[in-house]
Amino acid sequence: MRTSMQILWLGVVSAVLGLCSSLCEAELVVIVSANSPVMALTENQVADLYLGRTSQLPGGAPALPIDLADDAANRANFYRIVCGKSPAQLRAYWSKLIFTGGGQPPREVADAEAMKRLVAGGANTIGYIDRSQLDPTVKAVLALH
Amino acid sequence: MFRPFSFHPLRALAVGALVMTWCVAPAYASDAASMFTLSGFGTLGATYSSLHTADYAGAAFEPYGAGASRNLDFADDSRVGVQLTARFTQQLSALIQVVSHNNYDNSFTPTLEWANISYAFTPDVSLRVGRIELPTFLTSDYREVGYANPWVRVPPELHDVVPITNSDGVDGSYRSHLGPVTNTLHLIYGKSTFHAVPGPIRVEGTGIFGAFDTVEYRALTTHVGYLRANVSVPFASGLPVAVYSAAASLDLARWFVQAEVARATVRGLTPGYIAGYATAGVRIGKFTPYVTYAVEHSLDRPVLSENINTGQRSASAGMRWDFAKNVDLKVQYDRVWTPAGSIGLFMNPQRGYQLGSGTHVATATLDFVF
Repeated sequence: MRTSMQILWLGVVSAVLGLCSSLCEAELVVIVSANSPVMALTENQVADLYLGRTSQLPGGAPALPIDLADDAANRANFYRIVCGKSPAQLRAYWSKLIFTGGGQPPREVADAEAMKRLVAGGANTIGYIDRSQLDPTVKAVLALH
Repeated sequence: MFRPFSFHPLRALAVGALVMTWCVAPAYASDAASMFTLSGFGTLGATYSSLHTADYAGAAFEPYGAGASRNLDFADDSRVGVQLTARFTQQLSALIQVVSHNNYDNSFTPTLEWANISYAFTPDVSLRVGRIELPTFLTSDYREVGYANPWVRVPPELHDVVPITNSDGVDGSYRSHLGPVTNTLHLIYGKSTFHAVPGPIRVEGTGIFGAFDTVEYRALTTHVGYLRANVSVPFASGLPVAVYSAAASLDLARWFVQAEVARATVRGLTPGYIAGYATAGVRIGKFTPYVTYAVEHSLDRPVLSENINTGQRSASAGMRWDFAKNVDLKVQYDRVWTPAGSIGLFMNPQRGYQLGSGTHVATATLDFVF
């Protein structure tokens, strides 16, 4: 009985800690070029673009979503928040599409700096970075919590 | 079996696509890297079945299986596929997929699964010509890609009722967006030739027409389909086929459920079946335990020659382990039952085999994609 109470307490404490660590995490923002006509995107629109369900930005321009490298922590965070999918789940998802000619996953870049450069230079490119990394070349169109 | 040198307009087109793919490459050498995508998938499997008087085969058209012919069958659930995709322009692309699996003649000769050229009029409207996948069921398109599926094999009770996977012809797809809902309508027309076991029975499907609709909303996917065709076998021709199917899948971060049901009839050839499955799994870190129940039920329609498959049921439990990037390991146990008087999906019955027998199947697979 005593042991099970201890396990229960351990569970409660770790749940509280887990909640804190997710709250205290740096905020991710979805970005487009500062020159882009796009002012805001919804979470669903971003999810559809990154899952290959649509290839157009609102207004009809062909979108070019950019991903961080496969092992980047922010990539996992991004997909967890936007699509509710884990990295392994996402790889299984894309293998369904790839092997039916249904599309290719977004292009990958090495780090947030490279992503920002690419997004800043392309009218229809979209990406995601930490809010702290924002600068005048790009603008945030969606904050992810 | 695919014979690359027999002339057939669609095959010529497929070969043309291949040639074009390789000839265009040097001309745009700088773009070649981004224009072409080479991908592949494969599964290495080992299958054991406790019933030693008949074979349990993982897929239709495999000549042998585990049980009678092989004690531990490495061919049953093993396969490898390679795909080359070429994107010539924003509108024009081509795809070729070659798969090596256990063929009806017991060879592993690679077969041309798909080869088509696609033209996208808009990002949401496209037309394809060539050998095209037949999306009869929710998982038909990627039935051989173990990594994309939760199980060691797609439930045979459902998939074996319509084992054709491709059609030579045309198809069009129209995708529309209604807020967060994506709808894809797919129409296909073509013909198909394939070999069925036992023995090299050549089956021809003509006038294949299919209409399929897929709805995606966040983690939910639904699929409904209608397929009609005429099949000809050596002893009868022009037998009408009709397939109606419906499926739903909910793929959440923590767990998933997927269920599918179909009614398939081939007049005179099979008694007709209602088949389906339901599967559910939970994700616990890198492990995904799952359970499945599948059933194939006979509609008892009249047949030209005796067909002793009057149904099969199975209950399965398994575990997927995503132990490394793009690789998974799965183990699965199946309990298979057949109703009295039915051979179910068993093959090569031996002396001592009794209709209505069931089996216990244990399978381990290693799936990979690249």
